[in-house]
Amino acid sequence: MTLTQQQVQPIVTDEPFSLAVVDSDGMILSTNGTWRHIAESGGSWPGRSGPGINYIEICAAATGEDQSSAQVAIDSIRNITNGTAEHACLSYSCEVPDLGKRFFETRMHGLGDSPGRPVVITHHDVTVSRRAGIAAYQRQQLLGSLVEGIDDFAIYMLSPTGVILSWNTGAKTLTGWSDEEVIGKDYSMLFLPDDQRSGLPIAHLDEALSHGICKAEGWRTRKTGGHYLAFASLYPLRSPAGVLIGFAKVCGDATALHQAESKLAIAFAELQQRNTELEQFVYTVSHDLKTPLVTIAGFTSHAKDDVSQQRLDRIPLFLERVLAAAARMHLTLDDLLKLSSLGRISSPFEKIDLANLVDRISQEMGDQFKKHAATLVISESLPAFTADPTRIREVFENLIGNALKHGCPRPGMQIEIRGSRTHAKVGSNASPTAGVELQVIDHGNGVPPESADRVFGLFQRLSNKTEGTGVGLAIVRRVMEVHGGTASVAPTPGGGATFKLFIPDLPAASQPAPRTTT
Amino acid sequence: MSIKSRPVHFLLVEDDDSHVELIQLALADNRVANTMHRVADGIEAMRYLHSEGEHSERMLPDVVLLDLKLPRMDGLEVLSAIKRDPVLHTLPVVVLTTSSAEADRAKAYEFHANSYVVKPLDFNQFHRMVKELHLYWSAWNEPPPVSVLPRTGKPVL
Repeated sequence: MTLTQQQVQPIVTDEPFSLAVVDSDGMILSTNGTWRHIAESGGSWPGRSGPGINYIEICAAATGEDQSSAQVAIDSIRNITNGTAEHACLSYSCEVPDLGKRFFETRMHGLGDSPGRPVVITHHDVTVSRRAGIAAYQRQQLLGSLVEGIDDFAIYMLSPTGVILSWNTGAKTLTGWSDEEVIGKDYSMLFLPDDQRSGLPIAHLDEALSHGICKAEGWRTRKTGGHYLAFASLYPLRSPAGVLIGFAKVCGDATALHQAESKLAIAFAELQQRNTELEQFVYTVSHDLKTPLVTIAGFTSHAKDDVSQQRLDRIPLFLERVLAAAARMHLTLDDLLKLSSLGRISSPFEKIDLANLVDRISQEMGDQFKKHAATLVISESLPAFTADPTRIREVFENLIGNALKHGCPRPGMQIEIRGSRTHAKVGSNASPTAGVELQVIDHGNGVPPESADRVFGLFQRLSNKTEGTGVGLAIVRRVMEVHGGTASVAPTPGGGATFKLFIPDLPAASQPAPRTTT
Repeated sequence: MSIKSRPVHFLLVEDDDSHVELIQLALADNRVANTMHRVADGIEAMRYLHSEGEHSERMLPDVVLLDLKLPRMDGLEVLSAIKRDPVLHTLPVVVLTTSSAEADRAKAYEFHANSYVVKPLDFNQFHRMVKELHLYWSAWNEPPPVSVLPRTGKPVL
């Protein structure tokens, strides 16, 4: 059956696509207005055609780039007209006057089903959607390379169930894993074992789903087993229809920041403590230096008064008081100078031979030992430890001197030096530190429990009859603090005082170690 | 105007022997009769006030002169103990110290010190201070009645 031009005319209306009907030989039977408009505008093939022109011939005449698609068009018309194909769809591009390069989609289908049937050919201008598609593709490429190129943030794409679908360079750098080790695995592998067990990875997915985002900060594991402090945001990704496609996870490494913050916090706390100590120090000094001044001024004035009245009997007594006060002030100032230099380590740490050190001190203090008829007993099993030798010497000079003054009320008494390895809690550290405990034991009157802490304070004395300035034990405590250790006093069983020093194995690090990273 | 004064009994809580002497010298220059008991630390002061041990026959002071920096138990602790005591809290306490620190003054008054006096460096002032302290407590101040604060023996509620 052959359709006449009159028969097909009603079908052919002005449409947003160009349409032509050709017979089995490719002769154009009819076109719509759009086809005609393009034909009249004189563009390249196949628009430059109209009824009476053979479409196949036009196609066959195509050259260059157009040749192959023209051949597909010819074959398609033949296949449809002889019934071997129902329809065809092909795309091509061509230059259109005024519009430049346009993309077209050609669709063909047979009219009726008798052999040699005519073929309806439509050309749809798909330039806009094609360009949008190209732009979208390019955007995706750009985004991909952007994500890939970010190396200081880890970015993951997760499936709706949390399986890692893709990740970027930053994620590889941060975690240390390779593609094969991670892609296709559950993202919980990034979490610490404890967090995995407690269900944290799933909880994060749930929160992202219910809140639109899940922000989290916490320690995560690296391939090496080390840890890093992650600050991460997890976003659900949905299709335009609202179906969950997966999750995007963006994660930064805050480990260095955290370490810097902890260091800063520790430094700040130390500074505050030093400041408090300094205030206390200034207050104490001002009080204790004023005391002898009041004495000196008072007795000097009395003496002056007496002299003006020709009364001389009390002068020697008054001058004695003045001299004693001046001597006392001198001692105090000396000790203060010593104390003020204690904030720092004076010599490099070295292994201390305590038995030897104590023995030398006792020889130097021979006169005092004689005066009290006291003996020093040094334990044979003193543990080895590492410390500042100059400061440790000062500590033991003070403690032994202290034991002689207060711990030997009767002649023939013993001062013992003992030591052992032990563990002790220092400061706010929760776990005990390994170190050595050293003891200076006397059998004197002891220190009342209520004064056990006070005796280490500056200018604190147990009695107004006590020799010394009240700085010695403050020096002991300060040196121990510098070594990261402690100084304390406890009763000796059977009477007396036992001064205990704890020195940790290593000088206390200036910071509690955060979870270490490698 | 003549001031009628009566003998005053001081409890001096002072660890520095020289300062005790200075105070005694200044008091000796006043022709008014006075008695003084001196203790050298805070624990001893409380034992005296509580009539403990050798202090069982002690005479209750008209006024306590209290240094702040003391061995064993410091002045602020003594002050606080006196002012928390159901009987002794009526006892006038004069803080007598070298410290002019604001924190000390604040704490002393917080613990209900009756007066706060800084030991002057100047001798004449020191002398005058002791004299006037004595005059005030012996002539002008009326002590709590014996019914409230028994003068001797162990204080009882």
